[in-house]
Amino acid sequence: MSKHSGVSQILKALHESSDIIADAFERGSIEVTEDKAKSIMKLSQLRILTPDIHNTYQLRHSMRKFLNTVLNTSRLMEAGTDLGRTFSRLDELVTRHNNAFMEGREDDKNLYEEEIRESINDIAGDIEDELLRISRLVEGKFATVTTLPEKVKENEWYLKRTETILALLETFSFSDIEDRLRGHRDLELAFNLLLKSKMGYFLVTLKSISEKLREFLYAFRNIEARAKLLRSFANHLNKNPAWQPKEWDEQPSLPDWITIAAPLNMMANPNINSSENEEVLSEIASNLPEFKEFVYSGKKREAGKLIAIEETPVQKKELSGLQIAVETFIASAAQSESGLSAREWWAVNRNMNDMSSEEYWVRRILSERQNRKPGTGWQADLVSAPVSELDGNVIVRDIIVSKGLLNV
Amino acid sequence: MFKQAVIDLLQGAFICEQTNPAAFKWLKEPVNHAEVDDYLARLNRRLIKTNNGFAYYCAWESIGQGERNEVRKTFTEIKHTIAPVVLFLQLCMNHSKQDVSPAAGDRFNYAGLLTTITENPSVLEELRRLSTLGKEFVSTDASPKGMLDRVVKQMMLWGYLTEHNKNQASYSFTGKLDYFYEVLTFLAEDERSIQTADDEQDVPVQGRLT
Repeated sequence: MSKHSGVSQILKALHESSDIIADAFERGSIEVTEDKAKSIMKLSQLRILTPDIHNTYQLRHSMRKFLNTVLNTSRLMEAGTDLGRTFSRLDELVTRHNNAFMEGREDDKNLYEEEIRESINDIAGDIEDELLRISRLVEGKFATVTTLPEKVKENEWYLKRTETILALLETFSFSDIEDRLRGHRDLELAFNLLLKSKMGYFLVTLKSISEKLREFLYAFRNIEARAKLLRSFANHLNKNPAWQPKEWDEQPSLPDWITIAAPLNMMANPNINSSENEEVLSEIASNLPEFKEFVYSGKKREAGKLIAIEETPVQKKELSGLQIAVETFIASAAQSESGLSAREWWAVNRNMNDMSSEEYWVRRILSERQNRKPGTGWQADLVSAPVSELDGNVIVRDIIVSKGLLNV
Repeated sequence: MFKQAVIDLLQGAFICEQTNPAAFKWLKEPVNHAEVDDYLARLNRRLIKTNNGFAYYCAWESIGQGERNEVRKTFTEIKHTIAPVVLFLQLCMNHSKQDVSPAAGDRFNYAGLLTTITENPSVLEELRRLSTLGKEFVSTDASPKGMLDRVVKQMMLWGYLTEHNKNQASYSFTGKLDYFYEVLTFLAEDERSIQTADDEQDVPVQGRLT
């Protein structure tokens, strides 16, 4: 056995279970299934995996750290991300192109023209790709990594990268490349169309991403502190269920959070004088069940003027002179112990019922005697004499009305 | 936007990205912030932004006797909410299996939490404990779903959760949570016993059940 056998054995095991390791790295943990159980057990013995909850395993911290380092390094070396070098290359190509032009080397000039156009295109494409990539990661709050420390690390890395690109573009904006391309129509056009016209957008987007990443970094750092705070509070409440905070509301100087203003209950009424509300109000009104059958007349009220609503006519019963006289007579007589003569009353108050004759008056009082319900507090006694030739009949000469319980 | 923002603030709303994104974005503009603040000042109120800027709310400008009475009422309400909200957030944090406390804008995984509660008697016990913290949490339905629904409903009433889709039981934590953490931070800073509570928790020892 060679002295490297241990390393080889581990590397061999890593190679054989590369899928499992990749899954555990990308998903955060891996579930033990029948087909993977043996490999997972082996990786666990080699201290690559460590048991998690619910029959799952996760990568050991050292392994995860190693992979993160390697992947970050690879990312740095990815083609197209080294914008600084591309910018220098463009600067150099422009110098070479201008030299060839001045020296009349037409072939070289054409070759450099071609390369400058490619370089401009590459820069614009690389920036666009980079913006898209970072934007996606930011939108997803670095969802590809699961633990908080990794998110913070990713956030810091991309923040540095964004600010580097931003500084590079700002420097490039102030460089003299555009001046040096002046006079070379195709190159000027390519530069303006592919890069200069997009520069504003690139700068704004990068600044916005940088701002978001700074916010995230702050938030990520806060998350850790907040989780600790929450845990501490929960433990504290667990141990001291009856705990109450100090009477902070009695302090002379109050923190902002305690000074929340009492909510106001607000209710608004629509302005019926405003024509702006007419359409909405008529729609609401027409949907009311009470107005289901209502047909809009189309008659419009003049703005600012109220329409006088006609009152429903009330028919008041008007008493005739005779009726008033009867009521007055009975009311007076009902107070009298000795009684009032209908004929005498008529003689005195004839002006009240001047439309009727004395005979009619007596007949009317007689009819009141018959029509009014008994027990109304008055009684009427007839002053009459029998008529001999008309058997059974009497001649009523007068009626005496007096206070009483029953008509007689 | 001025009118709606001011009316909402006066009615006691917390304006955040989750509950009123348009008004929240509008208030983030310094000019609009100043305009609202000036208007509220005429009503002895001012516009306050939570420490992390996740929500806006309306506070008293100066505290007279009348306002002091209102402050007492507010504090009583806050005291009443501390324990249940802490317990609920801890429940969510434990369920996520990450040491990350919920924050404004985070999705509340209703279905996931319900499954965990149903499958784990210890988590169900935590939920039961929550229902002993106030009559607001007492549910006539004693099933895990019934109890969780009651808690979620109360968290929505208190403004810590907002519902996206009733049919899919989809919820998010609101910016008011930022305010809640601000309260906890303030109270913890003053009380040493809270700061050390986390350090003093029992450390699990191998071979011993905790």
